Amino acid sequence: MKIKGSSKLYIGFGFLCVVVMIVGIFALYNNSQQKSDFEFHDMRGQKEVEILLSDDGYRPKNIVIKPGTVVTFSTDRGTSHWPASNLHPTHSIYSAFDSKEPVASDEVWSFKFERKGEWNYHDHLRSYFQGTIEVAD
Amino acid sequence: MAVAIFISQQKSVPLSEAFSNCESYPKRSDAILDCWYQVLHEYHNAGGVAAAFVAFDYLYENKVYFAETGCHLHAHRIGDFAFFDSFLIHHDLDKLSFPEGSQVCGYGFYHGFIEHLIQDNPSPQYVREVCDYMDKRLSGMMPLIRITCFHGSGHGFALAEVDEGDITIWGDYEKIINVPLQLCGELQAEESEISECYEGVFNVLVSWMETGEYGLSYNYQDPFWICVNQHTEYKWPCYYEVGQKLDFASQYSVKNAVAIVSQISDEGYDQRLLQLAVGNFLQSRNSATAHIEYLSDCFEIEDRYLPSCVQGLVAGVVEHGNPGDEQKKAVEICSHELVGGYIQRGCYEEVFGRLTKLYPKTRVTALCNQSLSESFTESCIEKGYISL
Repeated sequence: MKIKGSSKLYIGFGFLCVVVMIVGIFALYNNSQQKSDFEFHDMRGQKEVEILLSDDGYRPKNIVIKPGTVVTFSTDRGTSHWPASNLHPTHSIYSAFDSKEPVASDEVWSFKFERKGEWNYHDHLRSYFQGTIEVAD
Repeated sequence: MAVAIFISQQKSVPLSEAFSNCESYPKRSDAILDCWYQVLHEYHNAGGVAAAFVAFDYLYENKVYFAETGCHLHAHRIGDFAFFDSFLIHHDLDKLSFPEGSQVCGYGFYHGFIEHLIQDNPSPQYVREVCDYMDKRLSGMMPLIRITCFHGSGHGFALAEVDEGDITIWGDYEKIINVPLQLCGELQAEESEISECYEGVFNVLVSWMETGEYGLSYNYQDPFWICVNQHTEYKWPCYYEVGQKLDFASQYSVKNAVAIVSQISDEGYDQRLLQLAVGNFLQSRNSATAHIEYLSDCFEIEDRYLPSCVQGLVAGVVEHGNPGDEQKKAVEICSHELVGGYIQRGCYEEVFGRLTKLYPKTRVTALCNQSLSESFTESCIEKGYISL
């Protein structure tokens, strides 16, 4: 089937619109992914907070807590985990925030945050799992 | 609209502004490094590996402490981001971007990325598939990508071993590296590639010894003690990796490094190891003039170590040099008034050897056309990169 000149123009324009929409949706998706990645959950109303390490990372990943809050780290990955403050591998930023050894997959590790500040952390065994705990009033 | 937002996230904020929040931290601290990493991570999430490396280059150029604290390790971190934020979402290497320039700082990005890839899949068969893939896709612009892949795999095998959480092997280096070395040996690959994998295992081991991880410790009196009784095929990989980490044992002194390596009885190892040690000094002592200061030190040691010392400096400034401008300090070394004759020839041999591992031939030719020094241009002509 032959396509006339004006039809070609309409099809071309339609195609362009679809491409722009797809790119837009992709960008929006990327944007929302990024937002959730850097989004902070305000948990200052809780005295105890749980963070779970799953295959897609720490959940919640970034939290705000009050000084004195106890954070408990667990995993459902079926392998050991090792929460610790940055930097990897020395954990020097907040050296007490470090389980110091692997925590078995069916065990948890808790830490009471007393120092105010923004503490980036990671899993020492798989350093690509990362998050942030902000301790503030 | 969404497209505009996405693009603006990459381009609207000047890099100086993006990093300005980090200025509140002490200028030479882990805290400021950590802050810079967070910004690099944001750039990675907004614009991928290429955007992260634009920010990385900015840091290297503008923040002395970043450059001085080991650009190879910093590049590892971008490999971490790419693995978590891209690979773990798509599980498909085809969907990942590996842009030109991501090989800077001794292929640190690839060490970081591949070590996690193999940590999660510690199988020799998988390593072979990944390294064949990387080779096919990237070797045109990254000449050393294949061998880098096998090296990173050695890291990954070692990480997978301690991942098990079996603390009964802690403190016993032989138990820790036994399985990883075996897995390297099972690779259906060239001897040099298997050896590179062994080096990757020892690289991680020595790092753990330095940082005191997994119950290990570094023997400052006899750094090479773990290598002496290794099997033949593991011996050089072991010496090679320990040789790269003599910084603290030698207190960053060329003379002290000579004193350590000259104790080694294996024929010819001492000179090669001095070269490695001196090169690695520049990873964490990478000021604007360190390479020239060390060059003077090279002329104060025994003559037989002089060529290795000079070539080690060249290796160091290329491996840890200003991304995209690695040749500058290397040529400063080779064209220095102290360097002439056979020392200069060896020096330029090292320059070309290093640059051709980092960049394709076309890029090396372009560097030759920069006329950085008379002796460099002469070497370029001699090597056939440019003609009269």
